[in-house]
Amino acid sequence: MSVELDVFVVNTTIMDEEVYQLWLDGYTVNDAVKVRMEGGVLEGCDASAEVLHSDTMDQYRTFQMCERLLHSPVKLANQLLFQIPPHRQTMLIERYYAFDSVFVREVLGKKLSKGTKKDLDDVSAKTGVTLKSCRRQFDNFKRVFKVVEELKGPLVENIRKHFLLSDNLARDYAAIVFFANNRFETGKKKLHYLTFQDFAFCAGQLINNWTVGALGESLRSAFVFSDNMVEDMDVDLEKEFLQDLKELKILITDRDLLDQHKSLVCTALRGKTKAFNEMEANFKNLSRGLVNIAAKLTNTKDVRDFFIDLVEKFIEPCRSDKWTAGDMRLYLTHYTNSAHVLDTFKHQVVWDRYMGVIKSCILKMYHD
Amino acid sequence: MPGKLKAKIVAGRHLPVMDRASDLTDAFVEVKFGNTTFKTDVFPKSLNPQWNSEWFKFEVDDEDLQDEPLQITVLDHDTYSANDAIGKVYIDIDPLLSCEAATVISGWFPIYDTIHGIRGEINVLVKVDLFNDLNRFRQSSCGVKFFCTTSIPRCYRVALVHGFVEELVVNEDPEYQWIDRIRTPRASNEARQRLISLMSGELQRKIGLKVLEMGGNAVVGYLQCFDLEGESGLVVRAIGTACTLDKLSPGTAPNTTTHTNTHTLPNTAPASNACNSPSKDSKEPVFSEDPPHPLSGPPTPLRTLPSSSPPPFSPSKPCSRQSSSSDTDLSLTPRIGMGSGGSVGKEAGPLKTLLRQHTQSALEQREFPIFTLTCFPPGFLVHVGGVVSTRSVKLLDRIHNPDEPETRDAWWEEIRQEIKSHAKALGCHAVVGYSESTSICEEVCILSASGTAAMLNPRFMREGCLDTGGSDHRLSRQPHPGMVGSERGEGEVSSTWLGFEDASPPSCGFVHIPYDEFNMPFPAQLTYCYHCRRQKVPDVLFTTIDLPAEAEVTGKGCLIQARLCRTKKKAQGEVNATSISNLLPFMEYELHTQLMNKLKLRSMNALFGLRIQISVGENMLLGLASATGVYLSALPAPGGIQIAGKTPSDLSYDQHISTMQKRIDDTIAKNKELYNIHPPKLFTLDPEAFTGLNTECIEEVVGSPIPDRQRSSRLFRSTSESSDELSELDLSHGKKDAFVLEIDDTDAVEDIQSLLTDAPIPAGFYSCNTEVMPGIYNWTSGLQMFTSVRVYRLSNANLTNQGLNKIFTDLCENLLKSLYFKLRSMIPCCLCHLNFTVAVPEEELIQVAVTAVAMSFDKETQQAADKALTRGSGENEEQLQFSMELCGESTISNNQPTAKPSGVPESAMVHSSRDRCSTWLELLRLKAHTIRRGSVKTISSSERCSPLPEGRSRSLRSTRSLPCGAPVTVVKMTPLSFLPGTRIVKYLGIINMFFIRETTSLREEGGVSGFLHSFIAEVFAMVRAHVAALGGNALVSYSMKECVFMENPNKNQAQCLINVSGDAVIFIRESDQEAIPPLLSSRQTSSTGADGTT
Repeated sequence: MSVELDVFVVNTTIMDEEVYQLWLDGYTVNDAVKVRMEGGVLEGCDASAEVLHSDTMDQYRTFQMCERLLHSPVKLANQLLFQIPPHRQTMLIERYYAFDSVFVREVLGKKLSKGTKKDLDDVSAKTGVTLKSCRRQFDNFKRVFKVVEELKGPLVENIRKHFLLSDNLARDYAAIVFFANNRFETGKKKLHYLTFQDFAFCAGQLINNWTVGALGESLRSAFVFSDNMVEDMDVDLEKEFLQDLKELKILITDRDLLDQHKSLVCTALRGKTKAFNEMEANFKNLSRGLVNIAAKLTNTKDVRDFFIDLVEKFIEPCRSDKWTAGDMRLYLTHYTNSAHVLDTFKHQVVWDRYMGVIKSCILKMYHD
Repeated sequence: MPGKLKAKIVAGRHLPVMDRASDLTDAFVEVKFGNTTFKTDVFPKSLNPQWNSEWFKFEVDDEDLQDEPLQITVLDHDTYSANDAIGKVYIDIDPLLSCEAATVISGWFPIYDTIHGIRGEINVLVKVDLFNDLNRFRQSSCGVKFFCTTSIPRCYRVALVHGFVEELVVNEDPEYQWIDRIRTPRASNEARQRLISLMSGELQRKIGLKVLEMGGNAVVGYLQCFDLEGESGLVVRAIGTACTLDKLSPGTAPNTTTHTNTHTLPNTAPASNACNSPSKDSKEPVFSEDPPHPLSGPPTPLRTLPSSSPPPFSPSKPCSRQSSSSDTDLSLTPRIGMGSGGSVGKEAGPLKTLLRQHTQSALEQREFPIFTLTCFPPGFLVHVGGVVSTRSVKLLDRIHNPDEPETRDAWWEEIRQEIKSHAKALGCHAVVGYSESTSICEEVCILSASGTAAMLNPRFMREGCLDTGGSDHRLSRQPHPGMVGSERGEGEVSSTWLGFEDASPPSCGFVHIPYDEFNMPFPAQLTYCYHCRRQKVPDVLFTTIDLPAEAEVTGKGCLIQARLCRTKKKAQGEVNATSISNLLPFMEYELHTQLMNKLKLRSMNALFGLRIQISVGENMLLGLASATGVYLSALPAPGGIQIAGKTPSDLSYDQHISTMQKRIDDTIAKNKELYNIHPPKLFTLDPEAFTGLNTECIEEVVGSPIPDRQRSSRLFRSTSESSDELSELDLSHGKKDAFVLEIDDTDAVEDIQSLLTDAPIPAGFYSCNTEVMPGIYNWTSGLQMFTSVRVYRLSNANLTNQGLNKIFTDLCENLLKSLYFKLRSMIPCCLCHLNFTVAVPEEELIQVAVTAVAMSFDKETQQAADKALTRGSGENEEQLQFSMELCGESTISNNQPTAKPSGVPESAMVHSSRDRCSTWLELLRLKAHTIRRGSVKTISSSERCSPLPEGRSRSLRSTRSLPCGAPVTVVKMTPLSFLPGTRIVKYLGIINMFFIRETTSLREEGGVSGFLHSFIAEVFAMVRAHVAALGGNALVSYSMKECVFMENPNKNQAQCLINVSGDAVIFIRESDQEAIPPLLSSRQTSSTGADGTT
């Protein structure tokens, strides 16, 4: 005797969260049954592995049918096929769009293309995340990317509205989209120590300060109506700003200005930190590093290397001089503020806009 | 003649991509009714088109309005080739034709395609302007309300029950061979869907006409079925109960049937009293009509006599034992005194005769005194006789003239006549809880009908009361039933009248035997009712109805199933039909034995909701009987199961038997704990008090005051049975006692094995196939309706009957286990209305479909209520027994002279003496506990009240947690006629839908399971959408009547047909204070009744 057909359909679709997670994690039905058995789900029930298998199959089928709807979560709310209580819908969506940080770290900044998708089996082998789960996560990134790419308005808000995600998850997706769009290099060995959350924070900083969308509502609408918006407001860095950054070069090319700047910073720092000697000795190098990064950002290639440059030109020298996080904060604060006192330096606004982001990014990235 | 149907197409959403190039769709809509078609403009390049069309108006006959569905087709416009169909929506506009139902249909409907399933949604608005037509010869029956619910709908009261209505229409099946087809599968599926929709409409209209002829305004318990007879055609048939219903004003609408009757009864009662002046207290004879008589042989309350009469080769008569009686019945002459054999003249008082005659004439005038209701207003059901059922094997031939479906009509007529005559044989004049079904395999068809023989109170029948005045009275009242003044007036009448009614305890009346005990239709063991001690009751009662609200039950009930598989040789035509009809009686007998044994094993004495299904396949027959077992307090405690071997010589054999016996006894004891069956221990109560009291009594009780089922059962049956020789003797006499299992042959061993291998229900679960589980009152609003379908393939071809039985039993058990596991999050909960359907779709395939609702209840309040109840009922008993003292004596004096001639004097003696001692005992206890009783009362009442608000606040919270701006209305679905914790305020009309789904890419859709899973989900979605469009938020009395699944994996194809129905309703959450659970309140009435007697 064999079961040829076995279905169980309910009017109000309620899914077992545990099985859902197993499905999302890419377990096969048989593996999921094993995991559930080991988890002791049968304890206290007079049921056999067969029953468990049938139940798992039913749930897997339901998830598969729901998957199509989960691809456009807004549909899930007004579709008629499954009657799912609203809080359950939220759970389904949130879990479906959740991702493994090990996985996202691998594809962060890569082009979300077919080629990358083909390489997912390597990623799967490397991270231990099942290929099925890798594909789902990758497709999620791609889907979100495609949808928001064509939309105007704030990135996080767009993601939240179109995918009904929680604030945190929407922010993470914004970071992923932003990285994918600008193709930031994150895979170099020197960057391995950085987590996804480090990058997501930096992305947030960049989105909030360096894009067109960052200029605020009034300016934004002016932009929208004036020059028909070729670039994406939140996804691309503001071109004009990047141009302006070139002007900062004066800080290192003008010798007087450089010395002046150095003496101002050193006066402020003296006696406040153990690493003062190293700071004083390295000031010119460090300053050159930061200003050069700013000046090169008009090149797409250099934008991609933004993070690697930050690490190579700034973070590594500081680390080898054994600066503490406190030292770093102190130094960057005074470095930024001292520029305001320089009489001949006229680019205060651009400087602040640049250094605000750089400072918080470096502080976030300055760890082991 | 005229009616104006208006439809407006508003918008679409989530449409499929029809143009691969642009990834978009150029959609437009065709709206078709009858032969008229309108089109909307093309809305180009959008998956979410906004048509916002004008109102399309159809001027049509109301006849067409009833028959035809509104057909909406969504298409993709294509400039160069033919337009591609996206999908269709059929809208039944019947609900708009009754003024009390829905007024507008408006909402999002899934666009359905028989090949692709749901493809987007469309927003539609439909209205009807109806001009009333008073033409006497009209063919329409607009305005007649239809209900699938088999009880009186919650916001109505019944003024009159007119009786049975049936109709049948036949047609050629547009696609009787789906494999070799000429047109596209889509076209033939759609033709079929449309035809069935048309036929259902026509059927409903014709039934409506019959109802109007009878003077009714509604059909309750409407049951419509399809017979897909293959090449010989397509039959759509329906049965129902015609009623006149009055709408209760929404403010006073009661939430339970128990409540309803307080309004309903006064409406008819004074009238009937007035016109029945000679028998002013017409209830008296009803309850005293069976004078006490001695016991006789063992029981077989199930009366099933299959008969076979394939017309082609036996045109003369059905060749069965019943043939003579059914033949005489065909003459339709009213026969005097048939209700109780010759007893009318002999000993019944004049009042009784009069009543009988009234009742008889009322029902006798009808061709079929048959009712599809399973739940009744209290007082309607007087006595219940037992289950009557008939099966008949027919050979299908082609229906030549669809306009005159005479053969099929004649078949059913024959069956109904037989049912009627069975009921007569049980001394009953009516059949309730009636249903019909068929099972078809190739050209053989088994027609089955079953119901419960019953005596009904004629007050609800117009002719029965002879109360033209009464009905006038009602009519005059009808126009303003909602007025507060009149309501109040009725309330007063009701209270006085209720007191009157309750002069005899109403909770046990229905179990009293309706037949004459000298001319018993079958051997049964009668005792005095354990509740009133005045009337005779059988020891076991089988019924197809729901448990009456007034019935007193000890403990909880449970689902009991008997399963059976019988192999059969493959054969053709007449030979096949004959071999099937030869097998049927044996199957019925075995199913019955199984049921009886399982009932005993659970220590219960009555079955409700019994449904026996026999399905025919090419090489086997499947039998599945499901029922809900309960312990009715009014019936005697069931005896245990005794195992007897024929040759008790061998010592090891004896040992084997005794271990078996022990296992059975243990199981019974365990079950008693499980179902909380602790019947009033009349004879074994308070052992200490007992010993000090009367030595004679102790001897009677065989020195074992502990409730050992085995012993007490012996006691019940006869004192001398303690010697084993006697039981042997009994057997040799051929009276096969249901309690004694012989294990001489392997069959019996199998039986016992299967008895003991029934898996116990996991803790926290209960199950039943009736509306609700007796003994559970505090349902929460948590509810989950589900459908589960399984198909098994029998791998080895040569299976024995035993092997098959085992497989089939395991299959059902596994399915149940699976359900318990899946629903474990709802614990504590009860699976209600568990409805199993079995089929043999192909050789070596068994299909089982289950639909039920899981309802959770509140454990804490349940326990409190349990306590309150046990105390309450204990107190109740004390009062009753006290009152019984005198009448007990009087019955004994009546009893003894009549008992002598019947030849079983001992048992009668034992009985009476037991009666006496119990009453002495009770008297003593009563005296001792007078003070305690008072305190108990207050406790129980406070417990009764306190837990309730808690439950209610919980349900309120749950409603609040739902976001108010939810875009899709939540539609609840349940096979029950109500939703716990809610009040149905409006019935919007019947939902009756038929869908076909077919695929030619089975593997791609996830195999057969994936295909069926999504189809069932789609059906649910479409049902919900229709309910929501009518303005409703629930579908009650839901049932999936047909689920025909065919596959051809080699061709990667599958097809499935599903038919679902139910009543669309609007419910509101209960918020008012009077939310007393139905059973508690019924207890209350019964206890007040008892108070009245004392």
